[in-house]
Amino acid sequence: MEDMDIVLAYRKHQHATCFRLLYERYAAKVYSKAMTMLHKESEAEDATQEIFTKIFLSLGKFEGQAKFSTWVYSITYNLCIDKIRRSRRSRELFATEMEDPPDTIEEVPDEALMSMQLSELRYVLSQLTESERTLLLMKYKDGVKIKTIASLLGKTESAVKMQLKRVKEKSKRIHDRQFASVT
Amino acid sequence: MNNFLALRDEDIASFTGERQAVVRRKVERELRTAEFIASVVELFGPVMADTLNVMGGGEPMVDLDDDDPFNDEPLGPGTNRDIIR
Repeated sequence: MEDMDIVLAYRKHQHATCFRLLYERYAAKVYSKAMTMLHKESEAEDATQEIFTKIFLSLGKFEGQAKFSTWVYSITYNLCIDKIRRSRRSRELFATEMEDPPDTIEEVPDEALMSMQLSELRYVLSQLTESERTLLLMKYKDGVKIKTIASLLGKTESAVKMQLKRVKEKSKRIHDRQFASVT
Repeated sequence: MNNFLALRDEDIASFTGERQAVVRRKVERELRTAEFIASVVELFGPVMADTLNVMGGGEPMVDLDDDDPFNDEPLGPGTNRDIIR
């Protein structure tokens, strides 16, 4: 059954089965994206609850112009971004320029990040700032396009690309410093 | 293999079973509460608005139930000649 069919049925009958179908289809994915943004299990869980309440209360506004999943994920990211803004713990996520930009940035191919072992990747992510981690995870874990990241964070595409380039370079540096002698 | 995807799969796998069900029940409860509040507003909203309006000196907008809207006397027995006895 397509998402839109379930949405229409839910709008018509408010049936619990329709709610459960949509919830079970998207709950884990929404939670995973909330983890990308918020990094803490309890916060991601609370956000998932808020996101689904918001989704079902505003289901009447969904007109089906975009895919249902796209609509769900945009609500997810926007709600998480609101939470981050409210907590004011990661202002740099929305900053257009880094405070201390390096003169030259080495272009790090995506493969250098992708080929890291899971434990190595975890270590590298733990060494990054929250905003750097969020950016990297949005791009490579959730597969969000640069254009979408830019519009979500209120930045230009070139600013996001530049920031991503710096984060990749920093990640590689952290990785090499910690693991290069081992391998 | 792209280990970013492994991280994603881990997150997804960790949010199953009871954890997912607990959040679902909380969402269901919030939706029921919202539905209840909406029903109350729908049911009593117009009357409340009219009450406030009348208290402010306005004319009532809502017709109260009136079982004799035309003030007619009820037809008594014997006055209707069409009744065949």
